Amino acid sequence: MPEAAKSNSESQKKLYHDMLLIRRFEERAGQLYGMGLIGGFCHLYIGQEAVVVGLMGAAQSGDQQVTSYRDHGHMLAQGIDPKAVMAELTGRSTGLSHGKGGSMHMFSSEKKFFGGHGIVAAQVPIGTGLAFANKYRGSKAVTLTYLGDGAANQGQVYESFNMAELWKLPVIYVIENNQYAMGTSVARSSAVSDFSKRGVSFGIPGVNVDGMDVEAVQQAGFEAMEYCRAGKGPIILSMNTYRYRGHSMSDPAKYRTREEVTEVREKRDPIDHFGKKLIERGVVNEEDLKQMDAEVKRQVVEAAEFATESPEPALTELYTDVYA
Amino acid sequence: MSTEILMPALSPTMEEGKLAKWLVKEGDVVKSGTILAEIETDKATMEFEAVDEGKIGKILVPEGSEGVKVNAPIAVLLDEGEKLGDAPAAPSNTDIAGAMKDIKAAVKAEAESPKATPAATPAAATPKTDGARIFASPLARRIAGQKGLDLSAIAGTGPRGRVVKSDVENAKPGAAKPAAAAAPAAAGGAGIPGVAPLPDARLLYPVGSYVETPHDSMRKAIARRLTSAKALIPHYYLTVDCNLTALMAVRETLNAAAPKGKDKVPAYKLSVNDFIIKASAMALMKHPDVNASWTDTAILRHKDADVGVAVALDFGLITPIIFKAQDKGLVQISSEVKSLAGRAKEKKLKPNEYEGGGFSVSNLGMFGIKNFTAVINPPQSCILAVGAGEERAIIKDGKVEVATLMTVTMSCDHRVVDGATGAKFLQTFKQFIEEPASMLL
Repeated sequence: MPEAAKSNSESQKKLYHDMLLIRRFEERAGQLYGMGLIGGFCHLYIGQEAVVVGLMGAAQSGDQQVTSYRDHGHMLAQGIDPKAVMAELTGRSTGLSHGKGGSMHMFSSEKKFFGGHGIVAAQVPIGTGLAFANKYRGSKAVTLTYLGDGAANQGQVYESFNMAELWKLPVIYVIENNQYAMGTSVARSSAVSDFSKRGVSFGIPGVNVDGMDVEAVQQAGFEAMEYCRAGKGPIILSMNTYRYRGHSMSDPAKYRTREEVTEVREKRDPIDHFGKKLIERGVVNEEDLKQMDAEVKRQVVEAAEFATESPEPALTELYTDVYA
Repeated sequence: MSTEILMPALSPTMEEGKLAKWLVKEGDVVKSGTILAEIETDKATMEFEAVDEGKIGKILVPEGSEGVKVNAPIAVLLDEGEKLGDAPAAPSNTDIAGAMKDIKAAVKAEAESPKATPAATPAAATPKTDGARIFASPLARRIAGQKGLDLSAIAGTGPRGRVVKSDVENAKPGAAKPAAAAAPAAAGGAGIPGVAPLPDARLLYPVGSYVETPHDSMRKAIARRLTSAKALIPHYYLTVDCNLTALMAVRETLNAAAPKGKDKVPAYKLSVNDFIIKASAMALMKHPDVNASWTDTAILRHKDADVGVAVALDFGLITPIIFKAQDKGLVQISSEVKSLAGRAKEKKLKPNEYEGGGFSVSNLGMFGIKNFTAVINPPQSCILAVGAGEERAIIKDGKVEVATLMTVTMSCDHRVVDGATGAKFLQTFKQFIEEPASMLL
């Protein structure tokens, strides 16, 4: 869980730092995938960094996260060691799931990260169950359950909504609307594209948030968590965000134009945008940001080295932790 | 410190790919996120982004290179202020150097092993001494590499004389290629029972007398779709002449009335083709039997007149669609055609802009073509081939007159559109073209 910020300016710098860490980590993960060091698929979070960083900037110790497989950023924002995440992606024994899980089966119960799931929307009932446990045990923890705009059209999401509101469970459903469900745009796949309204028939309130503005996300996070901790039940945050890369590494993204991506990058990039704000406010100067970038790069390179130098799981591990 | 940019694997199964296009050149400054190149895999053309920032020092693999192995160096990235001379030829200082050393050594060894892996480096990608490309399976290439065999000296027994695993396993180093090794080839007509495939054209021309251009994905798609369309759809053709005299006058009046912007450029300039699209759409609404698609169990009659317009490209052709053309005015049709054609030339059309449609128009009039027949563009049932508008002598009321005429030929799918149905459609089309004002009725 993020450490308590020492001051407001420190907390602002941390938001910037964490977004940058995710961006650089994902770029490096993409490169390792390109070198054949990451098996299977690889879904990068580039462009969406402000969502998870803003929410973790509002979370308290003990709050939980669960999401699907575009999850590297969620773990980094929750303070999980980049080395352990990268080593899991490359299938090494030093990874979070001892190299057996990859991005679709990655967990840290210690850091309250509950995965990392491969089935679209299946994390939504799980997150709802976590919130049920918290309420049952009288814990004050809130469960952040993330899903995409594609998952938002799945049936189990609405079964979960029904139970969550019925039992007033402390869960925040974060719909990360990155505009495309794999290759299908929201306009082509969703009858109601305003995802904040998806809880209306269950009486779950929803808020639209600019998911490219980390401070707007953080503010929405504070309010949503207050709502949940007050015992009022679940709430939906619809994050309007954008992914720059394809759905996965093998997606040529022909369903949108290069201009569209370039325009978002230039006008709404969460990191550039916030960096400029910090300079305007005098929190940092250009030199500070350059230094931070160099430090983050060093950290990510270190993680990549660790991930490629670590051994693969021993053959004797074949049947350990395997239940099915 | 210089960094090597390596050929990326862009899908779980990719082992090699085509470096389709460089989007940067030597000397360009790049940063993370800059799109460096387009890489063609067996499935798609993907953009490849930079991770590190720096300056492109050298491009090692020219664009158009096929069969570039994953992890082969394709370019050298220099730090700011660094010169190419500083860049060691051997991979050394990548910032994840330690971790990657093994892989790079392997890649390098592969590239350097004698004639083992053509196309791992540009030098190896160049054709063999006799100028002919050697066809061999990837496995055979690898085994040949391991055994130090020269592929060009091995007689292939696979399809089209392709060198396969058993050939290299049986070959001894230095084995000479027997004369007349090339197996009789089968190419072109894949698997229609009772139809002899066409021979591989390469067998009929002397080696070196032609330039070989491998198929890109568009060429493959054109070949596949049109072969199927011509083989499976029972085409027949209807031809009619249209008098354009009235249409030309209307067009001139409308174009003269176009408001001009600040730069004196008129807001629109209608072409004859814009009228043809509109007239087709209006005629389709009157003859829904023509605006239809065949399926094995039913005919689909489309409710809107979605008219495809064939656009010639330097590298092929594509048929983007003006959707609901029946509801659109000439100015809108004209500007949509311009936009679609422009983006088609830049390969920027989205699938939903060219998939489907109920009818197509193909116009070769600008090349002076008088009349031609087109291949139906499935899933549509008819395509209208439009010839040039030209002055011809006509006989009117027993006298010879001069008029501007255009000949159009419609190809019809007889499963969907019977002769009289197609003819009635063309009659309506002709009427709309000859009296454009009747489209207002």
